[in-house]
Amino acid sequence: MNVITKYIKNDRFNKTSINFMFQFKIDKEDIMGITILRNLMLYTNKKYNSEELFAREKLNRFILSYGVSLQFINDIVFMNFSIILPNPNIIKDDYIENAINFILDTIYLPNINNNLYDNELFEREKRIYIENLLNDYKNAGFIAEKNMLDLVDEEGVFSKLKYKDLVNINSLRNEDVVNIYNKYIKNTLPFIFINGLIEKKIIEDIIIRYIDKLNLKRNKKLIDYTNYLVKNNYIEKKDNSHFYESFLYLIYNIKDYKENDEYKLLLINLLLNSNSSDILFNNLRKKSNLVYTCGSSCLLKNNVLIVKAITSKKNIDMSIMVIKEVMESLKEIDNYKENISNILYRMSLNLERQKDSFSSEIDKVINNYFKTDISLEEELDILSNIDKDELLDVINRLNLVSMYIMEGK
Amino acid sequence: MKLEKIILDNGLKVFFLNDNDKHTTYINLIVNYGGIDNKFKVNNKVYTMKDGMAHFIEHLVLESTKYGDLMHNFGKIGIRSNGLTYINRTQFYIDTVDHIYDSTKVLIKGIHSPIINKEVIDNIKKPILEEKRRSLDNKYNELYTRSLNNILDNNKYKTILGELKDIENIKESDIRLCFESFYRPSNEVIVVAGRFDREEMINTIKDAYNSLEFSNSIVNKVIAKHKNKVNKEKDIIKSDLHIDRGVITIKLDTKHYTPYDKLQLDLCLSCFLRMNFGLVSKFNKEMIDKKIINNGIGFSNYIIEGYNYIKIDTDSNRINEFVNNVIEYLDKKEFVFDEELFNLYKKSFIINLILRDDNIYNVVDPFIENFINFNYEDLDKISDLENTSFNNFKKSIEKLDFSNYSITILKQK
Repeated sequence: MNVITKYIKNDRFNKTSINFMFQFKIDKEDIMGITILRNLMLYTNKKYNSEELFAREKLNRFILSYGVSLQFINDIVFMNFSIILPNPNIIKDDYIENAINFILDTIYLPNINNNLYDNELFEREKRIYIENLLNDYKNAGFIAEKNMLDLVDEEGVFSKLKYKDLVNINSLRNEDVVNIYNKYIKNTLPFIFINGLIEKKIIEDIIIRYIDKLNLKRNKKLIDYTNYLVKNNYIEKKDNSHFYESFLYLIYNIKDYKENDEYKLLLINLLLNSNSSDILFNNLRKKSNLVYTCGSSCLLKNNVLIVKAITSKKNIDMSIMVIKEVMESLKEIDNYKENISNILYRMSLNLERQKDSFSSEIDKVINNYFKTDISLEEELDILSNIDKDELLDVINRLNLVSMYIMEGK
Repeated sequence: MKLEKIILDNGLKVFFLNDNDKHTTYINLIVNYGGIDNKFKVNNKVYTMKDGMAHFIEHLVLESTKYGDLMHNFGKIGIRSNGLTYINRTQFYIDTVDHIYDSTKVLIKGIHSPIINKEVIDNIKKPILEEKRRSLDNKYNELYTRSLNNILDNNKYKTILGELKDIENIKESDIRLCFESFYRPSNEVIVVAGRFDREEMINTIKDAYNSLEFSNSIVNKVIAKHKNKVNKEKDIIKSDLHIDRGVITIKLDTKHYTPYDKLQLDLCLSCFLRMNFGLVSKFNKEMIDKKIINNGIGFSNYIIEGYNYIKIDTDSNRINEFVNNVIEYLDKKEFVFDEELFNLYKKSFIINLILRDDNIYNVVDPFIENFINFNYEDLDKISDLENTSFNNFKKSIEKLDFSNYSITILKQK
């Protein structure tokens, strides 16, 4: 039985990571529940059913780190259970099987009795979730970001995945979370990725011994990430707030979006934002002293470029003007030749820098396996080969679709 | 990684952590001048500055130098760089895989060659004012700043950024005085880690400093004499946040500890805080079972002006009950000392120490903290951990006085 999806033998570090990844298309009504499930699976399992016992056992079994992460790409979810263990040359004890069994117990022996999670734990997680959410709504950055996303995201895809919803969480029941566990995790064999020096065969044998008694099936890998695009009609909105700072967002997309436009959008984002170019920073802060923070980000799979500035009320109009000028100036792309070459040079240096990073190699393998991202090498290759006219074509098709201002006092 | 210490003729301390298997080089230049250092003597004359001066100079020496805007120029050639102002130091770093020696030279010469004039000051002031306004929107900043003010005797200090009016009114002559007083080799430390050629690096650093001129004035920081009691025992800040947050800060009189004692105490406090307030602790469980808290308890220990401080905090809408329980627990001194758990922590710390070399930042950053905070000029070693017995751990905690504390609460209006 071939249970290991990818194995990288890596002797440059003193540790080994094992990722158990579940990938699934999520139903909208399960989005709140999956987050609560993640938290419940982070602190207990059936054998170690309190945080206290669980935390102590992690120490006992030499688990250097244990985490459960959730990543959403539109409606596809990656739920990743990961552990990091020291390599066998570091400690004498026979720890590998104990450690792997611990995480497998956490995945397949959750703290569920009579089809319910421990109710105290469930209610507590819900309370934490609600309190944190209510607190987030007091935070200037959170409110501004949420209002901006609500404005541009017609489908509600970014907002619903990225931001939590109080109505849904209040109605969430214990049995809903158990159902979500049963639906997405219980009988599923995860994709398993290993990076380190612990032998593949050793890990594989331990996992096979464990799952032998379970009837697990691996889901078919999903690589089709639906492209949700923002609406094209221009909307401008301004809210007032009691905060000192004002938040300003200009949201762009590419008109008549074509395949491969996304890499040009990525290059535009790097031109605006990256340290080796930082056109926005130069214009908004260095030349005009209008802001302390500004930047841009892009949602490549959604054809969205977001330019953001945090400033004072008195500087809002001037900041908008400068941003619009900067965007217009991109049309004179020849003026940015040096910036582009700096970006590419910096990327080549980052390739070298990645060699010192424990996780970069395995991240690359995972991204490539699920087609969620391309490697830095591929990115450098694609960006280096973007033709000036092609880039200009995309710049000319950049379209300001929305502007959101949260004006401070 | 092996640590090498070199002291140059100009008084500059240089530490090398050479590892040519790495692909990056991480260079830190630390100036022994931070947000708290508002009072100092130059040739026996005492000067007192407003808050925010060290932070202002950090911006100035990065953004306005004879060599241009350093961060911008470094960014263009793929070098990561930044400056950070802490309470007790200003730190500049570059992190690079190329142009190692040239960029080290530019960093040293650049930050010692600022262009200071009215126009520059006015320009630098504006983004700093924006930075300050942003911090005013964050109530947690106010909580931690106030909790620090409440335990420090030097009540001249309020905030690293300074108040808006302090930034507005900053004077060119004061900037010059502070810069010349503190930005000098005898008050600086350079730590270089990762891939580099030792000889070339030492020559680069020497050449860079030799090309600069420094003032000969005698400068001393004036550190307020610490009182035994904290400044303010209880402080409540009104907020519009949904959850209250409380911080209990305990001041420990460890001024007389040697640097090595402090290193050992750091290990003991880490075990003690995990054992008594962490996820494994009975106290944490009790607070959760009684629904006094939902989330866990946060804790840390740090050193300012020679004294150790323990910070215990949490978010809860029953914050007064939480605080009272912590105080009662500290007063009773019936602490948990679990030998099995202690040995587990020790093992895990030892493994983490072995793994530390995988990542140069994990080696350099704690070294700088230890060196700056309690003058410990070495890397912590496995033997230091192995030599700490359970009995020593217990004794070192039992002799501490936990009764000197300050409570600061962020409470809903």
